[in-house]
Amino acid sequence: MNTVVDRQIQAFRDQFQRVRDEIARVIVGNEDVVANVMTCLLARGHVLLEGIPGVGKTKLVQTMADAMHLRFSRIQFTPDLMPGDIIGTNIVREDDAGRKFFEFQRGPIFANMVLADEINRATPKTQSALLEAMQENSVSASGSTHSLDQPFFVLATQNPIEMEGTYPLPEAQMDRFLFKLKLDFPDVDQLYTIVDRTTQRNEPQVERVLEQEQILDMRETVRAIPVARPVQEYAIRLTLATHPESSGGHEMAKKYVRFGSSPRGTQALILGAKVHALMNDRVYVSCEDVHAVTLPALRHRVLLNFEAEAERIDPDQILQRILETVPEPKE
Amino acid sequence: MPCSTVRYNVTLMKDREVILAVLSRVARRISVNRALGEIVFAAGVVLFALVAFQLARPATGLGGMSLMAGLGLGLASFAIYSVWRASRRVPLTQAAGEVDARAQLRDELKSACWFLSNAEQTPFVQAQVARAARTAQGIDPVALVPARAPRSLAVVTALAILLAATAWVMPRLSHSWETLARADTAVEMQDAGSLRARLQQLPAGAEVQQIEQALAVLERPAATAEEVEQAAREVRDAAERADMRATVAREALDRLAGAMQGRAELEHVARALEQGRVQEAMALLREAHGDLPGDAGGEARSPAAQEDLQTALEHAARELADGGMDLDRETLQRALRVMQDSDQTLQMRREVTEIAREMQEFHAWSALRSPYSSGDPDQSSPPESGNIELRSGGTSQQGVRLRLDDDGSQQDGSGVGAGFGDTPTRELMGAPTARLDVELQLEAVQVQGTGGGDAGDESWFLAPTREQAATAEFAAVREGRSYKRAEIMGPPSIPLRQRQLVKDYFINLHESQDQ
Repeated sequence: MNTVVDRQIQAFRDQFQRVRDEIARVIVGNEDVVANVMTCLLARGHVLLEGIPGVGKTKLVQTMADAMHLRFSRIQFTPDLMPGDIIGTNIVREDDAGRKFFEFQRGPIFANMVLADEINRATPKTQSALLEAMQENSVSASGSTHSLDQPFFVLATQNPIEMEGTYPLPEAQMDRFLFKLKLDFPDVDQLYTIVDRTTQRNEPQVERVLEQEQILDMRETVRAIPVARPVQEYAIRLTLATHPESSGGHEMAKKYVRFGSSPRGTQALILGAKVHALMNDRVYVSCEDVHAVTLPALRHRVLLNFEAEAERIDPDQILQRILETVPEPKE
Repeated sequence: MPCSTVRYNVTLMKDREVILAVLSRVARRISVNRALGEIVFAAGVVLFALVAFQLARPATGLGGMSLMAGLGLGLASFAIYSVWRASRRVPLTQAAGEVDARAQLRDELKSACWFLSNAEQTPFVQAQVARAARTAQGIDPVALVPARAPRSLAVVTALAILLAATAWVMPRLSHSWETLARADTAVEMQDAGSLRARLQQLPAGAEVQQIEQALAVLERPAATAEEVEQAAREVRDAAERADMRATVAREALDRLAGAMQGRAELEHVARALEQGRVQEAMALLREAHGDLPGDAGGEARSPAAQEDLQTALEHAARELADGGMDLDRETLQRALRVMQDSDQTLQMRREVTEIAREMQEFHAWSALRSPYSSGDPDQSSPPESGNIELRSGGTSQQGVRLRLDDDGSQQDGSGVGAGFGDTPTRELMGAPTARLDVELQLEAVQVQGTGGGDAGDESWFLAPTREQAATAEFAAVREGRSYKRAEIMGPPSIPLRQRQLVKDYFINLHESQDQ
């Protein structure tokens, strides 16, 4: 029996690594971001990518879709984008007998991997339509509910430097994303590699290394990983440490945080830790796994107050201090 | 739910037993180490308390049986509490956490232990337990949790050594307070014996007898506070009487010196007497007149012979002042006897004052010392009278002094009126002093056109100052028989001559300051 589990875990690791290697053929650097995007995909979550233009956000998503043989669609969010443009709409059709009827025309959200590019440029109404679909894994139109294909994975991007004319995501909608990842600007060596790869006649192409069914199996494997109570306790301690009003709240959180992480943050910690444990060939989750995914899982759930913004305090700084001070359970 | 109450399948049971066996051994070793630490810590606290108690006892006087019993009870309670803490079992989950931390197992055994007790036995849980069992088999509890001495053992050892040292080096700490009191009394008795021996070496007299009686009171452990206070007053009175005798002797020497000044062959003897060098004056007198006996007054003269001394002084002074060119041997013998008796009186005053000062160092007198040693001068006596009464013992500052910056020699009169109390008179008046009248007589006026030189040089001549003039006028009056007694002691026990000198001095001083 244990051999089956071991094989399952080994398969998980191999497949995971294959996807990473394949993506690395196109995407230069940002290995952690790739791993975390994969983590979100396998943990049944969605990702909010933040980075300046041109660092490869869209390319990353396209490459992942190609490597995993998933249906990919891209939605460029603009201020005049309507919900129907995303989820689809009913159109009038006529059958052979000449009778007219409504038929639901599926929007671009009906894909396995959806890139919501510059999501903060659309109106809140449109954003809400997408976020509802992300939460429910289904869309409702004209009284009918349409399920989304699995895996359904949304990668939303937003540009942190062009904030004029944008609609920043409300806190409740930010909470729908499992991870918030930051794409860093590549260093000099990575820039050389980018130039070499993208300015020649034959750009590297990715191959399909993972099928849709395999992804669903991997998702099941993640859910099967047990988590001991001490590790859960550690995740809860970290979550509560972000709450300024909590007795376990960290001093820095009490000073700079307006609202702490929601329970979804704890769920994100555990789910992300599970994938991290599997990646490290473990069938249980340790506090180290929770530690590893704390920043991407909680940074968009910690809402700073005015004092923090005035002092240019970053949520990552607060979380880093929390990680340094919150002790792991002894027993 | 404890680990041992959950049922498992055979495979899981085997893995579970492996894990629990390892964790049990680790838990035992942790328990032993923790017990050692707790016991050593408790011993450290107890030793610290004992050392602090030992060190504080002499200063605070702690030592009652109730306090000792309370301290012992408290320390015993703390020791029992520490033993109870040390005897508590270490949970297996804690042992698992220790193993994970020490072997860097990333919560593997901790998770396995929790899964064994609580979790649903899924394939993944079983896989994890199996992996944890394999990991546990490779763990050596002895190497992982070695038995080591607690860190505080060195401190406890040092405290134990310190406690032994305090008990050995400080015998006062290991005895009761009653023993301490007896030890103090023994030391005081030893001091009293030394003082008594010194008193016996002094000529018999009322002062010595008075001090001996006071010493007997102070030696008595059962002496009441009133008796001790009375004894202190007796000693103070004796010292004052010795002061008065010294004053009379000094007056006699002054008068003798004044009578000798008219004779050239005795000028150097007179100068030595004026400057308080009585022994040297006697030697000079014997040297000038070789037929004088070596020690005319060798035997100690009783205070009752003071009348004879006074008569001898009268005769000697009159014959020295009014006699012809040749001095008879009898006059010189009288002068020598006056000098010897005066010198003996001054020496006795010094001894009595010193003994009286040392007597207040007795422990039995320490409680009474503060009201007598405050150094708060009693302002009831006017300063110009030259009599400064100190509450510490009635210091009689007879004679006015001037400070000599370059004279380090001990002047005869410098010790007169030395404080009987904590504050010696010399400290009140400053360093070595010379008598005012001696200083005044050394003043000279340089004649214009003549060269410089020391006093007595031919180019200088002595001119009487205003004080000296006043002194000379007063001496003329003093020669009258009707003032025979009054010149020695005035109504307030202050010699008239001295009062006049002080008065003239301050008048002259104030006039000089005004100018």
